[in-house]
Amino acid sequence: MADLADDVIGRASAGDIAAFEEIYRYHAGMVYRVALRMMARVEDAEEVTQQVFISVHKHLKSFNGKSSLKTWLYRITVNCSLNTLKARKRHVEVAWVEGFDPEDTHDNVRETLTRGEIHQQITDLLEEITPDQRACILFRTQEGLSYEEIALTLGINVNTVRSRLKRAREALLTARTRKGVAV
Amino acid sequence: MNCQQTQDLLLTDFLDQQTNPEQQLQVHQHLKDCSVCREQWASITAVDATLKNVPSPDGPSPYVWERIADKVQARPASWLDVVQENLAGLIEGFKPAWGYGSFVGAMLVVLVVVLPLVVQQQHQAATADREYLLQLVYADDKNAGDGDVSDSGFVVDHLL
Ligand SMILES: [Zn+2]
Repeated sequence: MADLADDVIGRASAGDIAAFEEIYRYHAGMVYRVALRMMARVEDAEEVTQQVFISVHKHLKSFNGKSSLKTWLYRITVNCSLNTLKARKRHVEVAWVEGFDPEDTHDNVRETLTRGEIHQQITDLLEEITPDQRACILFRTQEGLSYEEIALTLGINVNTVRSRLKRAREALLTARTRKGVAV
Repeated sequence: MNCQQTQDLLLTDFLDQQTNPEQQLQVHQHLKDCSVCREQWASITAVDATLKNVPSPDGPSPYVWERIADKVQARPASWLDVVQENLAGLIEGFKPAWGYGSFVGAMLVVLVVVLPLVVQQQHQAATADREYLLQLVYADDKNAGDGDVSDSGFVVDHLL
């Protein structure tokens, strides 16, 4: 994909909707991908993508450049996803209290990535780790961010990144052994 | 370097290529001599490969952009946005020191801002009522041809 023009943020913040659409086309795939891996459900990932870009539009004037926009997008995508997961957890707890079958809720929650085998595999794997660990693993393994970039994006220090990655990988290894699957 | 130290590095810096040359040499040396850690390394790289080899999803449906475009075009920045943003910023600002107190802080600010407005509004309403009654009483006095506004004012205050 062609790189974004240098003045695209300026044009978008001046009200040029075509420029804003360029920003969307360029970054939406990344935002959606992170959101989907964080939450495993297409509806949630699309909702978060929408929230993120409406927020971007409101704050266009505060971005210094394209790199600050990208860091900010990663951060807000993870934060919106964490909020959605918290809300969903509350929802599941309420459903349990009200006597719904929790198994049904569970199936509904992770309906989408089960379509392909690979997606099933990754969904199962990522469910083994906490959302905070998941964000670190995604940024490192799938987005290719360095420890420093992850720290900056999530507003945590490098040693926290390191320990979350370590715990996440330990949990993934344990799950792999337990399930006896060739992942 | 013992097994624990080695495996800590295998799970983090070594896998992520963040080790310095000296650490790298030590890890390689340990792996050469230790079959347990070699096996662990094979598992770690297998899991990492699984995560890395997942194909990217197709991307959001076209409706997502349509909804975003509708919202950002239909709703230019309003005073409500400004209030929301400032309130969010305020809550964010309180977070490190206050934790859940941020909510209390925001509520206090709302009280400080809104309460005077409410009080002022009630005062204005009371003043309007007073003037209205004053008019009635004053008109009666005028009809009587012997008006004393200050006395009438006292009466009105008493009524309110
Ligand atoms: Zn060893």
